[in-house]
Formats: sequence, structure tokens, C-alpha cells
Amino acid sequence: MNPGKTERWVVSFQECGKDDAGLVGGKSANLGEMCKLGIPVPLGFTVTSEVNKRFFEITSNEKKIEEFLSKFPEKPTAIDEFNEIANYVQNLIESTEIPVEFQKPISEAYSGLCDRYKVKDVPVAVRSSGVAEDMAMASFAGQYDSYLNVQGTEEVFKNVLKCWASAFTPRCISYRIKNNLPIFSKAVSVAVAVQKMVRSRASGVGFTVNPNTGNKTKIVLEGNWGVGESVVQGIVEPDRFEVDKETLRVVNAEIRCKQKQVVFSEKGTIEQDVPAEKQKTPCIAHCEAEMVAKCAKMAEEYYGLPLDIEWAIDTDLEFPQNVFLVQARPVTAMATERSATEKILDFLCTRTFPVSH
Amino acid sequence: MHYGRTPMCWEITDYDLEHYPVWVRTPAHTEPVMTPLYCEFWYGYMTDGIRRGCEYISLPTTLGYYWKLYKGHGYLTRAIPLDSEIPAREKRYREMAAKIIDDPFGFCDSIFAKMDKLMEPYYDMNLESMTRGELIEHVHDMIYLHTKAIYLYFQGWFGATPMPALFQQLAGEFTGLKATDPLYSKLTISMDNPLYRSNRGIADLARLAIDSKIEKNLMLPDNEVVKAMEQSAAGKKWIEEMKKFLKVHGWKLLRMYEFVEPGWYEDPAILMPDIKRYIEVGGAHKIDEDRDAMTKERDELSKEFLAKVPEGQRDWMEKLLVAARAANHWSEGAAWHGEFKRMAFGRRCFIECGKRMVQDGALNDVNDVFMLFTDEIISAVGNREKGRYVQLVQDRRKEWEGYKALTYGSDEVPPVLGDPNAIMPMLKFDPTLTVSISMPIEDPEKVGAVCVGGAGSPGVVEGIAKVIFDESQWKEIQKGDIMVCPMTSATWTPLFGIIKGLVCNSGGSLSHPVIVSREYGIPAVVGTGDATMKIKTGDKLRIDGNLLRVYKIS
Repeated sequence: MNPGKTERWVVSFQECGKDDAGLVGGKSANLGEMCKLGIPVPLGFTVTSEVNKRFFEITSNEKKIEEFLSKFPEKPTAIDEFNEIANYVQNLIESTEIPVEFQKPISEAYSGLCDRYKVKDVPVAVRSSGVAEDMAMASFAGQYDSYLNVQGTEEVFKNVLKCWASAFTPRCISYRIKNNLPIFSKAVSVAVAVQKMVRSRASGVGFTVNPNTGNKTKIVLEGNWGVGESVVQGIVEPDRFEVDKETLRVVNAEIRCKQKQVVFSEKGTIEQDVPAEKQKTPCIAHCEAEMVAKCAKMAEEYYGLPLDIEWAIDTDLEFPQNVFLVQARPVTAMATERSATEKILDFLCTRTFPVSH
Repeated sequence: MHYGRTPMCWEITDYDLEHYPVWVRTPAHTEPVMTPLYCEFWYGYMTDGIRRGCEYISLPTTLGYYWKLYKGHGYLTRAIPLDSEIPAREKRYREMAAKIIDDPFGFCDSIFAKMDKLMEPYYDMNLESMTRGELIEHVHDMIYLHTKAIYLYFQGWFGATPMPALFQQLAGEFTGLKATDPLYSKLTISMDNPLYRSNRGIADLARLAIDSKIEKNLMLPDNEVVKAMEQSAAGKKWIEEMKKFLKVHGWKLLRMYEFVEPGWYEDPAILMPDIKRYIEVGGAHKIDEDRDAMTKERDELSKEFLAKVPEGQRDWMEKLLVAARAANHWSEGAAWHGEFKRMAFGRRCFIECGKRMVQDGALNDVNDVFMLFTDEIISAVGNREKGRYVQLVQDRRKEWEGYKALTYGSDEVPPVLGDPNAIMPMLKFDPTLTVSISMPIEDPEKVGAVCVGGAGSPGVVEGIAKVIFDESQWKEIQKGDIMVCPMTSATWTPLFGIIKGLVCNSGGSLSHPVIVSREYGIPAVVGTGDATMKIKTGDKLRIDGNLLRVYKIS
């Protein structure tokens, strides 16, 4: 087989870019661009949307689904009907095996990843990557599930199926009906990104523009021990680093007492106490913060937009290979630059007294 | 028939003790115990200006203070807005405060201008030629003048004083700078206001006397100085200069927030003790001599300070620093533009009423008028009532003397009514209270000090204590004394040119004794609670304004 681009089943992040969004989805296309820029992202590959389309054809699922749907009105309105359809379609997809012809490229790509990181059964995140040609779905991509800490070829197959099935939740179905889209069509195909999980020693978020002040001269990073959830969900007051965008040096570091962290366990992520001796220790070294900032700056220059990022520091690797940007997206709600007067007013209205001596 | 009006609404009753968690005794302005007439002005007409001033600025978490009377003594508590009012108050506060932050000195000066306009009609008035009816109308005008003037005063107070409170807090957080650090006071001095110009005028009169070699005339009893000066050409020239000075600065009574003590405008002899004090220091006015150097030093230190502030915070901290300085400008300027003048005009009015009543035989002595309320004065002035108030005045004076006797060391007027633990929560939501009230920061016994303060002016000095309680004892203060007193106010400012150190029972970080001590470079410890009880005149003291401690040394 010598597939043309549209017939490629599995594409590594390094091989794709923004022009491939229709095939690999927005998320993977983004990761591909970052690879090209030399920004360290956890490596991985995409099971293309074409595979999803062919899956429906090769298995008889397409026919089965169409038959099943024929029992319903063209536009069902009842929640029970959405649930019934979702239940059937999702079960059907998840109980089908991935056709043999696709199993091989997927398992090869996965073992390539294991070799690359020198880890047997390397833990990966398996995520839906919305396909741009289905705009409705693209904007719905956030609804699709992500599966973390997946290990072994069989588990990867299983979770790829789950990602395909996640395009048929009751919400997705209801959305399509409301927008006069067919409940099922091959256009509803999902690319699936399989990405090396960072074993986070520390992680967090960042902004290439201060979201509170609108200041564009600094990159602000916030981080904690463990995975980034504790920062995103505000479980702790995170460490905060300000890196000058010009010199890429840390100009201000506020180290907080971080009593909790989120870590992976067999049951998924759990919250646990940070050992006392680590609570007041900076969760990342200045060189690591500066490396994250450098990557964020490169990404911002490429997109030409202020970005918010997610970053992680890997336990298993050495600096600088241990620094990863795991996400970069344009900042949506951003404060305009606040004037000095407004900043004083913010304090005047929030501070309590008395003044200490 | 009283229509149930006993007690008066400005007295603290059981209702007030139940309704508010704590009342704090506040000697600033309200001690020595006010006369009945000024009680009516202050508690009856003027403290309402506190709430109106606060409403105008619209501080979100306070309505200002209630200031009420308990056994002749002033106590205050915070008036608390409903939670439901706070969002709308905050919205308006942001608008008001934004204007102040953008032009803090302009804000102060705009209120000074309103005060000047309010005072304008009252300078050149001949009260002696007024008919009884005109005089009664003038009494009504005085009520209006005081009500309006205090409203303007508190617009400025609530507008200006949160700025240094915030600056002090954030300077500590960003750079570790403490309010008792000498650097702090150097950063926030404002250096120029009409009160200092008034002091300079006094110093200039002292120096003119020295230069003209007529200073020995000033050593005569106060009421003989002018007569002696008239004997020489140089003396006559000096009198001319003094009159020029009094025309601008004469509208000032010896005591703040009272009518009972005389003012410079009515008798130059009252000015003489101040001039004599400056003879002792050779007619020098410290602030003026050092002004350029101090301003330059201030601006250099401000740069150094701002360099320590994290870069992203620097621009607005600089703005806040300027706003904090403006509060000092406000404090002393407002005394000169508004407070001194309205009090002088009030005294002039009631002295004239007293004179008419003495003519009628309604009173035995002009000064008895301060024992009356305005409705009684209006009635007597209009009706020429012989013998009307002689007994009443005697009874009231006895009651007044009784309250005064409680001031220094009676359990009947404790420092706090209610729960002392409620003081900190009360201060918490009012940045303006926190600058005028403070609590001792540690236990004096544990640090071997005689007393410990809650705020102060930096520096360490040793000297002999002179304990005084009110204006009548100013004459006891000599060059190089450490003054120990309940509290100071703007009328006390001339003393700061000669004392070496200061200890007060009351006061917070932006109270009169602290502001003025900082600007005169005098170590001070205030908010000690009971310094006047623990220290005796003649004690040798070491004042540590950095640690806020006062030690007795042998």
C-alpha cells in the first residue's frame, strides 16, 4: 500500500502541520506546528480521521447504525431517544475490533514511541482531535473525552475506539439535530491523538501576557508539584514566576507553601499531601522556568497572538529534555492593560487594615 | 415636659452599649472635657459631618464613625453599612477615589478653596455694632458654618487618609519597609503647608526682634510686650510686622475644637509665648532651613525605594506614594483653612453674646456663655433676661468640673466601653480609623519599657520628661524637653519646633503628633494608652521611635 496523504492511517506529530488539520484534527495539527518550531512537546502520533471513516465502512457498523436510526423519526426530540441512540452507537463502536489493517500501523507507531522514550508500554494520553472540516464538531471537540495513562497496545486500541464513540454522546447527537446535521455520517469522523504522558515532577500553566494586567513584557508561569490539575483547579496557591520576555530571565519568583498536589494513581488522578520538606521549595528551577518561557515565546511569535500554555517537567528525563509544553492556545478573555489608578483602586477596595508596624 | 429628651441623643446610653460591640475613648480633640456649648456644636451638629463626609467619598465598608459622649468624655465606634449597601458604595468609591489618586494635591486644594470661600464673609465683621436680632442671626450662621466646614473637612479626611494606610501596608509587603523606619517618614513628608508657614512667621518675628536687638522686650510678661515695643522705632516696625502676620494667621484659638480658650486675633499677648519659644532657638525654623535638603533627600530616597518595588508594581506604587504624601498636606492644611478659622469666628460670636448677657445681668461673667446651649443664648440675647442663668451656669460648671476631674485616672471613664477584642475588627474595615487610633504593639513589662506605643516617628533620643495635660501648661515646655501629653492637635504645632521628643497616650500612624514629629524629625511614641499616668515630670527618658518604646533611665 502506498497511501497518498489522505490515505495515511497513522501520522507522527513531526510529520503534520496546520495544512493537515482535516486529516489529523486541530489539536494534532497544532502539536505538529510546535514540533516544527522546535518547541518540545511530548511526542506521539495521530490515528487519522480517515481511519475512523474506513472503520465504519469495513466493519458493517455503518449499515447497522443506519438501520437502527431508521426506527426513529428523522429528527428525534426526546431525551430518551438521544440516550437510546447514544447507547446503541457507542456500545456498537466499543465492542467492535479495530480492523487488522489498521492495527499494525497503530501498534508500530506505539512501539516506536516506547523505543523513543526507552520505556516498555510507555504511558500515553489518548485524545480526540477535532477535525476542522466538520466545523460543528470542531467547536464541539471539547466535549470529546481524553483518556490518560493508557499503557500497552491493546489498551491503546480500546481507547481509540472510545474516542470514536465519544462523538456519539447524547449531547453530541442533540447538537447535530439542532444544527440540521445528520446524526450519523462519515463526516463525523474523529482523529485520535496518542501522546506520551509526561510523568510530571511539576507542572502548571502560563500566559504570554499577564491576564490580570494585560502586561505584555513578561511571561507569567504558575506551577506546583505533580500534575497541572492542582493549578488549574486552584487547589493550591501555586509558585509564580515572571520571566522577562526580552532577556528570558526570571525577574520575580514568588514561592508559596504548597501543601497539596495531584498525582496519578491506578484509579486516575488523586489529591495528596506534599511532603513537608518540599512544600516551600520551588517546584521548578529558574533554568526550567526560563526554558518554558522560551518555548512559550516561540509559540506566541508563531501564532502572532497572546497564548495560554500548559507545561510540565518530566521526572524521567534530564534538563533540558525534561521541559514540555503540553498545550498552547490563544488567550480568550484578556484584561486590557490596567492603569496605575485602577490597580490602586483594586487594592483600596480589597484590603483590610490595620496597618502593621 | 421634656418630650422624653433626657438623656440627650448624643450621650452614650445602654442602647449604644448593646448595639455596638465597642466604644473607644478618644482624647484627640474631645479632651480636655468640652464645655456644654461646644458639646452641642461637636456632638449635636458636627459629628454628623463625619458620616456625610464619608458618604460623599463613599468608603465601601464604613459609614464613618459615631462619636458620642460618656460622662463628659468622647468615645467613638465605627458606623457599619448594611452588606447590601456595599456594592453600590464601592462603585461610587472607585469613581471618587480615582479622581483623588489622579490628582491628590488638587483634590486637597479644591476643598481648601471651598473652605476659604465658606470663611470669606466672616473676616471683616463688627459684632459690637450688631443689633440683637443681627447677633442672633449670626448665631444661626455659626451653626451653619461649623456644620458645613466639618462636612468639608471629612470629605478630605475620608478621601485622603486611606492612601497612606494602603501605602504603608504595601510598602511593607513589597520591600519590608516599616512605618517606623526613618526612611518611611522621609518618603512621605509633604514639606509645605500653611501651618508651617504660620510657624515660620512666628520664627521670623523672633528673628526680627533679635536682629533689631529688641528681643529683651519679649522677656517681659506677655501683656506688657506690645507696650514696651511701642517705645522704639525698631519696636514699632516690629509691631507692624506682627500685625501683618496676625492678619493672615491670627484666626486661631489656643485650643482645637473648643471656643473656651482665647485666640491670637483678640489679643497679641496670646501670641507672645510662641514667639518667645523661637527666641530660645535663635529665630530658626528648622523645617524651612532644611527644606531644600530634605526635599532633595526625599526625592532621592523615593527613587531608591521604588527600585526595590517589583517592576510590575512600580508605576502605581509611585502614584500611591504621592497620594500618601497628599494626606499629610491635607491634615495640616485643613486645620489652617477650615478648622482654626471657624472656631475663631465661633468664639468671637459667643463672646459678643456673653457680653450682651452680662450687660443685661443674665450672666455674671462673659465666659459663662460657654456653659449654655444655643437655644438658651438666643433666648437670653433676644429677651434681655436679668438673672436668668446665674444659677444654671453654676450648676453646669460644677458638673463640667466633675467630668474634667475624671479625665486623668478615673475608672469611670475607661479607655474602652464594651469588648476590647472588638477593636481590631472595627479598625479592620476602616482605613481612616487605623491611621488615627493604634494599640500598643507589645507588653511594656516584657521589654523593660515604661510604656510602648502603637505608632510613632523614628529616631532615638534621651531627655527629661515634661508631663502636661492641656494648653494651659504649654508655658512649662522648654527647649529640649521630652513632652508627654494625652494627645496633640494642630494648635500644638509650634511646640514641635523646640521639643526633643514626644510621647502621647493616643494617636495612630497618621495622627497629628506622628505627622508633625516626622516632619520636624523628632522621635515620638504614640498610642501608649497611659503614658501620662506612668511618667512624671522630671523623669529621665529614652524614646525609641523605631521600636515604639519609652524607657525610664537613671
